[in-house]
Amino acid sequence: MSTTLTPPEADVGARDRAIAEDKAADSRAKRAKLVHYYGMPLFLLVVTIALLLYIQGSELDSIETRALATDVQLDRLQQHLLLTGVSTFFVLLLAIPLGIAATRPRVRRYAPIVIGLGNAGQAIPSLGALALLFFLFRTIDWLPSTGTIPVVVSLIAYSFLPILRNTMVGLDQVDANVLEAGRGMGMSNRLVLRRLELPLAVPVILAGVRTALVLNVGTAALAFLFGGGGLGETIQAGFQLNRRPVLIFGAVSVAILALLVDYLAGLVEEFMTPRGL
Amino acid sequence: MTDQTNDAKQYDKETAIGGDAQVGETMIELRELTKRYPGEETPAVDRVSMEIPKGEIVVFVGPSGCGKTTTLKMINRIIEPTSGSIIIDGEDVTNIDPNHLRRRIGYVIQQIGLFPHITIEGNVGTVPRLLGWDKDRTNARIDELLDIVGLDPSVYRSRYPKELSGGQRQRVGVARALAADPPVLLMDEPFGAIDPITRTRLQNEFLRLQEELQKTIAFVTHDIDEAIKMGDRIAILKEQSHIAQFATPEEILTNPADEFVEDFVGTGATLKRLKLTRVRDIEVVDDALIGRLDEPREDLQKRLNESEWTAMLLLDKDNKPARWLRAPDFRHDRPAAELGLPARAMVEKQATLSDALEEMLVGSAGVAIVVDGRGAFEGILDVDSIITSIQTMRDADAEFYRAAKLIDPADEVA
Amino acid sequence: MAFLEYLSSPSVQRTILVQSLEHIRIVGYAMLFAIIIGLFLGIAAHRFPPFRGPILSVTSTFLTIPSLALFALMIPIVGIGDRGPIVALTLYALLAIVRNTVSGLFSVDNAVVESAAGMGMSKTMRLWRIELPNAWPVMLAGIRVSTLLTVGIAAIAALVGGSGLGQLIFSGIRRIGSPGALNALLGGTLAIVVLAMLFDLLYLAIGRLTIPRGIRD
Repeated sequence: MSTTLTPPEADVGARDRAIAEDKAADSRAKRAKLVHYYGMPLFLLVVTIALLLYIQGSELDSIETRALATDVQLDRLQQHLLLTGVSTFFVLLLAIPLGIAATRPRVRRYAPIVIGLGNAGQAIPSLGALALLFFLFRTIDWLPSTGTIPVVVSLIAYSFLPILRNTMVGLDQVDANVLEAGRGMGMSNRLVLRRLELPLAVPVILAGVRTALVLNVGTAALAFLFGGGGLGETIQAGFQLNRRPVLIFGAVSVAILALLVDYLAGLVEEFMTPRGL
Repeated sequence: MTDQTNDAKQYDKETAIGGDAQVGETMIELRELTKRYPGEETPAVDRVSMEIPKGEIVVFVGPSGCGKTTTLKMINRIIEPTSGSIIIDGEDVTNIDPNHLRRRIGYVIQQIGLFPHITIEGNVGTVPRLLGWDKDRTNARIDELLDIVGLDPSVYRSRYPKELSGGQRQRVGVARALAADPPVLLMDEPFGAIDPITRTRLQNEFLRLQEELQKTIAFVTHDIDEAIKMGDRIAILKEQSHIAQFATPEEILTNPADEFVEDFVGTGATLKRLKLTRVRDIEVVDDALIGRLDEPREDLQKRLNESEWTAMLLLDKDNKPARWLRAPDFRHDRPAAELGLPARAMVEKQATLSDALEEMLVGSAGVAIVVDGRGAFEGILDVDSIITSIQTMRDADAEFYRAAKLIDPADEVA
Repeated sequence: MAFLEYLSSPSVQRTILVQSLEHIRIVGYAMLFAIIIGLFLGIAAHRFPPFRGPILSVTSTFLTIPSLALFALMIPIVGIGDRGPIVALTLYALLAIVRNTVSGLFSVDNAVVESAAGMGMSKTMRLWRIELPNAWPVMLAGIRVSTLLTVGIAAIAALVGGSGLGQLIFSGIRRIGSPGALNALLGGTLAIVVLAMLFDLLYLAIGRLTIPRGIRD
């Protein structure tokens, strides 16, 4: 390092800075790692404590006390997690195999259509899409028209297209050279899929899990509109009753939940991604 | 705005002073110039001192990593020196505002770096605009420069860089560097990213241009052949930019200072000297048998038969060489423009003998046609005259080494 | 057919028009602020590497917070109305703008910037005359993505007392189970999709007008 003489000739006098940065980079990388692993949980912990202290410190009237009762909130949290978990599980179960199937050589030429639909779907507002899906599923005879089930089905349908699209785009990016090398060694299509494409696609799938979770934890906050409960209910109550502590408690707890889910999914993604990718 | 007009005044004054100066004086002086990067034990450039005479091309050449580019980039302070000073035209510029300094120094880098979002005219006009020239003056200058580098202004002014070939971009790069007529030009491997054939042509064109412009040029290359061809003087650099030898190309070839220089120059010194000698330096045949495309073929045939030449060169109305005719060609009943062979292997007077020899080997006639910048006929160069000049060189070298041996102390002891 | 009938009613048309304008107003303000702040943050993140990580992770954290929560959080800070949604949407729009500004600036050829320096352009001149114009196509793509995102999310504003086409959707949601719900849902949703398409066209035109031929592909 000390005796390399080749100067980075293309850069505008940035050499000085670059080297100073290099030196700082080691310690910074360590610090970044600390921040990366502990920053978010620490931040969330602080926010949670601040929220609880704020609620403790506020003089709550009877309406607020009732709205913020611990069992009510735990109930809503449980609903929220259930909505998120179940819808994520099913959407992955549907979208990932379909994404893999849709990128097989035989049907690959239709892939751009699906991806294009996925892109166009992004222009549909979540509120409208969710409401229309819910409306649609209520009209299906063998589905109950109230309760959690139509809400969950709506959530699944809502996140289906983005997850399908992400899976396909991700699989598309699996290095074509690697696949060709595999075929060149005499691997059958199925072998190429199992030995090369799927392992290489693990990060794509894990990213899909994370995206689906984050997406669903957010949309589940709208479930209350369709009688699905969840923490959105608290926000709604706070807004309609014009009770600031309730509103803040609802909003902050939804935000904490989403950030926590994103953080945990990120950790899982990081640790489960095969080394070398 | 006022800032820019001040720049312009200051700049004009400075070039005016430069204009009065006598040839032979020093234009760029480096004093103990050093670059030390933080965190590295040895400096990248260690106390380089050098004087670059006005109006000359000085080439920095050396192995990669020797610090030649760093040295060059310290002259316009794209890389700030750690210590030492830079004196340009008698003024110490080590601590003046680098942006003002750079507006007086033309700068051409290997990747050219044309601004992709701006038209050719905008690119070439950048520095004049920075200096606050008025529109008419800038416009006239752009046309003039594009003309000088051989690009038709009416065609190329409004094009964008991506619409040009590599060679054309390089020309625009040179035009842009010359825009405000700076007395000093820094060139960092300016022909490095261009295919070999175009490179030779651009090198020759640039040398022709330099004959008119007489700029002071610092030029970096890693290619010793290019250094020999382009340099009035060559600085061969070792690591940390230590100067192994700073001399004319002739001297470096005939009298390398040490083993490092000898190794770097490599074998084939005679062939390299072909790159040193230019067509204009040797005698060309200017009484060759010439005909015109529009002459009646009987006249042409008669003149060829009566002469002692075996072939006749036909010129078109612009005096450009068109066809080679030999006696048997007249058997065919075709117009003169289709008789014989097309005239190829054309070289300009700035071309080196090495270029000319190469052209000859490729062309069919065994000779090269010497033309001027517009492509009009000037004379003919044959293999014999090149061989003669090689022999002269060899004799001169032998003479030199014999003379050197006489005073070699090692020999004296023996 | 019932939907077309619904759309042909003048009062419905008026509602959609008024709410569309409200929607555009919210998105417009949010984008204006996001572009100014995002440009600034993007340049800072490009120029000062220590800021790069924090700027990008904070702006992407905003995007993780569910929209209803962020909109609601704004109420205690800026009150009920459109101001909260505008602030929230600004925060959502930042990431794509910042990220694309940074990657746009990084995509500018070093040789181009160096030759600009070699011609005596100051740092500021290089930024405004060379680096930003060359980064512009990538930056504009980021602005476009952000706009499409905010057009959709802006519908949530109606849930916290804001205006815009979300109101029409919200009124449909409240009426689910009774006639007319579907019309309101469809009307509001489709109007937002149309708005998104119009914004897309607008950006296409802006790109045409502002990206020099030399760097268009």
